[in-house]
Amino acid sequence: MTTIAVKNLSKRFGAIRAVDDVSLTLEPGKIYGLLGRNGAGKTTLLNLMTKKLLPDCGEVTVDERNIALHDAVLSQVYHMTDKNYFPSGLQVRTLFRWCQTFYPQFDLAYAESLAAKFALGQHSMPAQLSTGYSTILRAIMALASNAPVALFDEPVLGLDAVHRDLLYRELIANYSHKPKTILISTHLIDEVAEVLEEVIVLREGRIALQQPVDDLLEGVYAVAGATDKVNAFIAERTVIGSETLGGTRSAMVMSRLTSADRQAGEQLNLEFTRVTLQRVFIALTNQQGVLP
Amino acid sequence: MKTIFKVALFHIGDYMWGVLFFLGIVSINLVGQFYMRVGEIESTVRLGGSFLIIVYAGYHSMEHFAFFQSWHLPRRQFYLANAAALFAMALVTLLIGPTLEFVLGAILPVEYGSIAETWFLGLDAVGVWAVLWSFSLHAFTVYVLWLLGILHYRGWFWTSIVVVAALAGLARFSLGVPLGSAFGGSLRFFFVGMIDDRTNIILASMNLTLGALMCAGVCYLLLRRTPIR
Repeated sequence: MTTIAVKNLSKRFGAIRAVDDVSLTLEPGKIYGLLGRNGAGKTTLLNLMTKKLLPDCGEVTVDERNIALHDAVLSQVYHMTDKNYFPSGLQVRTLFRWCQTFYPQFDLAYAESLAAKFALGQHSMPAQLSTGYSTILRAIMALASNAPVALFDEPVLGLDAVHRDLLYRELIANYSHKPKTILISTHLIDEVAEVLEEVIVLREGRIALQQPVDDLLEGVYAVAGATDKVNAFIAERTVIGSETLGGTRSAMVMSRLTSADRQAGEQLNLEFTRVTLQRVFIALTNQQGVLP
Repeated sequence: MKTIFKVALFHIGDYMWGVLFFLGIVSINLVGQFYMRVGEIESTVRLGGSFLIIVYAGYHSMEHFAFFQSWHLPRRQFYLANAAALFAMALVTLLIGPTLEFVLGAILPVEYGSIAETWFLGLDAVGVWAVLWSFSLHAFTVYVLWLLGILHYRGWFWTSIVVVAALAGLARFSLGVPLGSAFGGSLRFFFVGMIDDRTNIILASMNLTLGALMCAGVCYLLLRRTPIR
């Protein structure tokens, strides 16, 4: 199994710090979510991890080999980019065969079966594909590459609901059949939440949070009820988001829900619910001071 | 090695569009002249019209860099494949004139004036050295254009302008156009023998080869740290 590690990686574009002193390790066989608002540095980080961009400082290693010195180790990594870099003159089926040149484990039969499932014509030219089908083509090659590490940048960009569902199912089936390290960068958090084991939240180029999804969701709960009673309950608790509607208020509290909390809430006639990953993400990235 | 070979073939296949375009233009021109009977029929490949292909290939050589990088082709392999493809193109363009003359000459009264014959009129510019000189000139040009292509790809606009200006200066100098004593003298110092006032074809060949190797070396250094666009 392949391990990919990033150490103190930084990249500036003029005055903008796109990636700022990022360090992380992707452990083999886990599915990570790379989350962040627009401009948080997700795509830049993925491009730096695959030597498409060169860092100002820091290093990326694949199985402890620095990619700056040994870029051949990147054959262990498939990066589904957010852009289409394929030449306009090559047909889809030709691209599949080309992919096999760089990824010897590429499963051509599997790629062809996926193309049939998504109704992607193998005689189509990449330049003629719609945004959705262009994404599908890149996703198919990422899945069929069988690389030990697969990085997905916006894997559902432009896909309709049916294709998104099909892609998630294929992703899970692919992972179950051949476990690998997967990193998914996306804005459709709730859709992908079921698949993720761990989330990495980027904010202004820095890692603001890295935590297993279950731990994160268990560490946040929502409490709702009459405004004054909710206010009393949250007075000494860390609140990361709240909404007020008429005389009622709903607040998101960042801590584990203990039996003492529940008892106190029941006395105040409050209602407790679990929150979704997307709501936690919005609350965390919207607020100053909650995340580092 | 297999990957390098495959990528080199991909590049050559891409550059062949330039060759086909050039051959098409030349053929249409010659056939047009033949049917219109406008004076003597002359080959348009005189003065090295095949340079158009070299310019296309050299400058076009970064076109698929991002494509191959998206699949993590090591930069060294990309470099070797592209260098080999451009070398092959230098060979193709060297052979294109005589081939045209041979093929078209069978049906039309075409006379091909090779670039070596044109530049070394005062010499008996035939034989192995004339061929080598032509080849080294093509190779030098294609690697210079590759270098320019990389500079443009990296977005180093002003650097590429400086390189183009230096090459324009060299071209003027080599054509015997005065550039002013100080500037011309400096150029003579740096580039003496590159064309060598059209007298010494052997020295000129060696200098052009050296120039081509230097350009190829700089291309490698630049390519190692070129991000994708």
